[in-house]
Amino acid sequence: MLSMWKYAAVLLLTWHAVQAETLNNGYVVDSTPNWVVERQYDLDRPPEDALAVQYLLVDQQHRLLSKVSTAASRYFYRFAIRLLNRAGLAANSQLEISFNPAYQTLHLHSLKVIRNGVARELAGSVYVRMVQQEEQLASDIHDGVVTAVLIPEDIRVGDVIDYSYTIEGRNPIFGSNHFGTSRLNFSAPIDKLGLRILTDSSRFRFRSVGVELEPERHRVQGLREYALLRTNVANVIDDGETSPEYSPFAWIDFSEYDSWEAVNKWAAELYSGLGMDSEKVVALARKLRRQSSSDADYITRALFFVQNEIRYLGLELGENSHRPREPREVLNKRYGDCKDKSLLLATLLRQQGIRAWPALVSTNSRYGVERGLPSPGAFDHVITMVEFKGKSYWLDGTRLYQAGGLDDLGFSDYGFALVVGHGNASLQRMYPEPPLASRVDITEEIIASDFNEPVILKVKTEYHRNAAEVQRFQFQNMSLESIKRNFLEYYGRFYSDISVVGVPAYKDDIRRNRFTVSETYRIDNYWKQKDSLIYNKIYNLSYLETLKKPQVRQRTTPYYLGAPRKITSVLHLRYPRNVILKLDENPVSIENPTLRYVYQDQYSDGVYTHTSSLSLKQKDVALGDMRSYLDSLDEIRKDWEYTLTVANPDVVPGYSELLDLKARLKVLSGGYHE
Amino acid sequence: MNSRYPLIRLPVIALLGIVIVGCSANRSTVQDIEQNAQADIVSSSQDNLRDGESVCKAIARELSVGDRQALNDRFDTRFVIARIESEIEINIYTKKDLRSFAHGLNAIMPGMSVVGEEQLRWDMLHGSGDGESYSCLVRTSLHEEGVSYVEFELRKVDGELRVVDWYDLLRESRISDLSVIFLRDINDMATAHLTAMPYQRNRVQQEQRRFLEFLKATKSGDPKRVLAAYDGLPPRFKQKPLYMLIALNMASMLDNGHYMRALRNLERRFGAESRYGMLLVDLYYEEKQYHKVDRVLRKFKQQVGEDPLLDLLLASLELEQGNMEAFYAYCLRIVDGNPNYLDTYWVLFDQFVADGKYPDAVLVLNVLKNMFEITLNKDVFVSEEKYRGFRKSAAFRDWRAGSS
Repeated sequence: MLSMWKYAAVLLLTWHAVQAETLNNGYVVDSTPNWVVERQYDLDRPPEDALAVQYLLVDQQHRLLSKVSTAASRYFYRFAIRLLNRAGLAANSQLEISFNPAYQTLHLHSLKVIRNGVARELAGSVYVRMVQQEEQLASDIHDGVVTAVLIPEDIRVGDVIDYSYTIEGRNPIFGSNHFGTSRLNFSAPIDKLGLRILTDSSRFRFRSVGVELEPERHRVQGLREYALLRTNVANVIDDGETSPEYSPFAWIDFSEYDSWEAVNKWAAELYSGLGMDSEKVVALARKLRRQSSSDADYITRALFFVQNEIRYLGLELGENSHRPREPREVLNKRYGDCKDKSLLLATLLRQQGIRAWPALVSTNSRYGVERGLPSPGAFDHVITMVEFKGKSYWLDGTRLYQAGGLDDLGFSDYGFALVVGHGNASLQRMYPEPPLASRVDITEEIIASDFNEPVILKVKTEYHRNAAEVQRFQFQNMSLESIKRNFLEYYGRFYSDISVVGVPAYKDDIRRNRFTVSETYRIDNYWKQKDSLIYNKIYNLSYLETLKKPQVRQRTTPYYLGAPRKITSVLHLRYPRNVILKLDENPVSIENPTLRYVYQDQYSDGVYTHTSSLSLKQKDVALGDMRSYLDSLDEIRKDWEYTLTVANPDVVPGYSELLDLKARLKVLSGGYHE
Repeated sequence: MNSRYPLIRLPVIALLGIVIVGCSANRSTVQDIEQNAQADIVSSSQDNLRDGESVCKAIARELSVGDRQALNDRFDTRFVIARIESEIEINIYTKKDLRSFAHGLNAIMPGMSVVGEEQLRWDMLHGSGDGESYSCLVRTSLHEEGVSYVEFELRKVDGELRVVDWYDLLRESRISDLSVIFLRDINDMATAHLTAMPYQRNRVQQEQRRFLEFLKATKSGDPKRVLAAYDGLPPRFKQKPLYMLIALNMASMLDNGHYMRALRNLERRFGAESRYGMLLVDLYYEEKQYHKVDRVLRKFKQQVGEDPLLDLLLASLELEQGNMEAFYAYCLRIVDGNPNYLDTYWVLFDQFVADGKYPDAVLVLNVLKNMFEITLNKDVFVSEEKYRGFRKSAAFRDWRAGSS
């Protein structure tokens, strides 16, 4: 269930405001502004479902004036929530309101606790603690956002908390064009949900997603009023494991931008004319060029320099939330955030005549960006787009552990990008036909010297592209002993008598961005014997982490599988001696719109070989394909664990002679095939 | 009504009768053991198939040992009779000429278990079905008598799975189809004089006599008499596959000359129809048209599925053409898939001896001795001229010393 306090914080992070204002304790307590329309709610309305809280009222009213200072923007919120049980009490006993004091002010208007119809006003007395959480600090981002934590006393189950506040001001980097988004339902039901915008602008556009709604339009005191009121809003049951573009929640966007081209123009002004002629940048470009053997080599050298030599640090304070720093400054300080790195990389590439641009993307909405209205708020990340030899490459200066040539690099498919200053100023689809983001080739060899002895399991895994970069990260940030323990833990789930022989060895082929890990294990009690038969279990673990069943199968949204990728697996089981193993050696193919799985069993000269490959063709399982996906999973999983049975040569009379005869026939047949 | 025809005579299979003195039939072989192992991991969903499979295996066993009483209980003729009555629109038991045929139907199946004085070997190859019905493919083979492939159709009657019809893969006909044709002809002939014009009666009566003689000859089982009667049949009967195949069957019992003539007759009439390809294989083989033999065998194999005998026939075909690597590859394939298919080892043994590969021949003897517990009559190697080179070899001497 989404907490309303977090929801409020999300809104505030999206709508930035005006000028910095120093206040006592960072906020003020004052009365509700007179432009706000007070909404009533039914305090006696019984809750519909056995939930932790009941949302009696969620009200948002904004006064967004384009013809005056950005500091004049006002964002009013009011929430009335009944705490239905101890879980609801625990989750809501302290209220969090986030804002950016660099350009915003918090006005607390009211905080009432209503018990048995009697209200206590606590706004003036409540204990408020201002916390600079820097929630993104772990990601090396400093955004200056402060959270006011309100801790009212004597809150009990059954109480209604009714509080309201206004955030004043917005980030000046956005100029006079307003935009924003407002959720229209939550994971809990809402008795009454209101949205009202007062503005002096005629450019406001609205687009609802997930539900068809159009705000009513009125004139109020010379301003335009756009208003929505929803009652008895049902809660949303989220399937989970869904791509952002298939979010089951409904929302409404508003924006004064009439097109993506207009947003591109806004961004282009922030990125234009910065540092192209800086001596330091020019010198660095020349140095990298001297080291490069080709244009392609220069591109990756420049990328790796920006990734590895410029430390990631986001000082996204005030306008620097969206305005990049000059490449010269970034080079001097040797740190920068995504937009700084993107601009530096684009500049280095342009210096050598390579066509490159910063590109705005959304790591949250990804393909969903297209569903909303054009606005700068649609994006949260900047990468670099390079046009080279007829292809578009999307390079990310913030990624680490990349290696290889341009076509070997790992990548993230964010769906759409706004390439700043590019001839095509609209949203661009990054990968019309997404290439494989990852490939993993696994070779396992089980070597047996005798049916009464332990076997040796050798595993060699070669990772490509994204998968190689993940492994490079792992091996650079964990000790080999830890990795060894993790690997052993993994195999130990299947082989109870397994032990490691040595530590995992790895080979990092940075020329081709391939990372190879080799492991060796010893498995005791591998063979099971019963009467004249010998059994052994085969575990085909290669796909265990990739092919999973959704937790919710009766879904309303597609199931997210992750980026298209391919895994191949070859297992060789070397028997101690030639055996008779009856197999259906025809290849088996399981295919549907989502995936393709092919496997084949073979036996020759004492070696059983199982080859298989899995290709995930799409990132999502469409609703119409879910049945076939689940059916194919059941079918594929039969190939993940099975038993091989052979007769024991030492017990069955004539078996050894038969094997000798077979070996002889094999020689005499000279490899003849029908 | 049996439909067995010599089919690519395997030169070495004659050894079966010479060398084997005793063979333990109840002992588990490698293949049995592996099949048991497979059964261990067969899902429970296949349990309901086991009834049908066990019934078919029992029928194959009863056919192999000639258990007529048991076989009588397995066969339910009512379905075939009902079909005949429905298609010919007669009540079969009210017709004197047909009544005996109806009774004779019951004797067909037990009769399938023997040819002449010799018992046939029946093997169940594949089966499928559910709790109410089942079909299984059974192969019969006897060295000099060729092979036959029959698919039994079983249905649950009074709680028991019983054979209600069967399909002959060589003829591509069901017993009920053939019965309908046969009885319609009998019925037509019996009543022909009633509908004939006065000036036709002499000819009709003559045809009736000839047809009756053919029926009697067939019942006598005398090949010469049947062939003579067939020659006297009116052309419209002689050209029917049913009668032509009866004649072919009889000719195969006489000698190669009669058999080849009958085959050429069949080829002239039906050579262009692929469905009789398997029946013509011996002709193609005789005329060294190996590509036709190969094509027909492969096509038939697609119909039958996995069958070591067909692989062995293909192996022999390769051997005949001197393609030794292909011959051994086929043998390896059989040994891999059906390690207890005994004929393979005899074919291999004879070829190893013929090629002077005496250590390999000994290897085969050891497989026969240890895996099948076959007691070999060593005197055969002394008395038979073709084993002269083998019996003088060190490999033979060592083997004889080691196994004495």
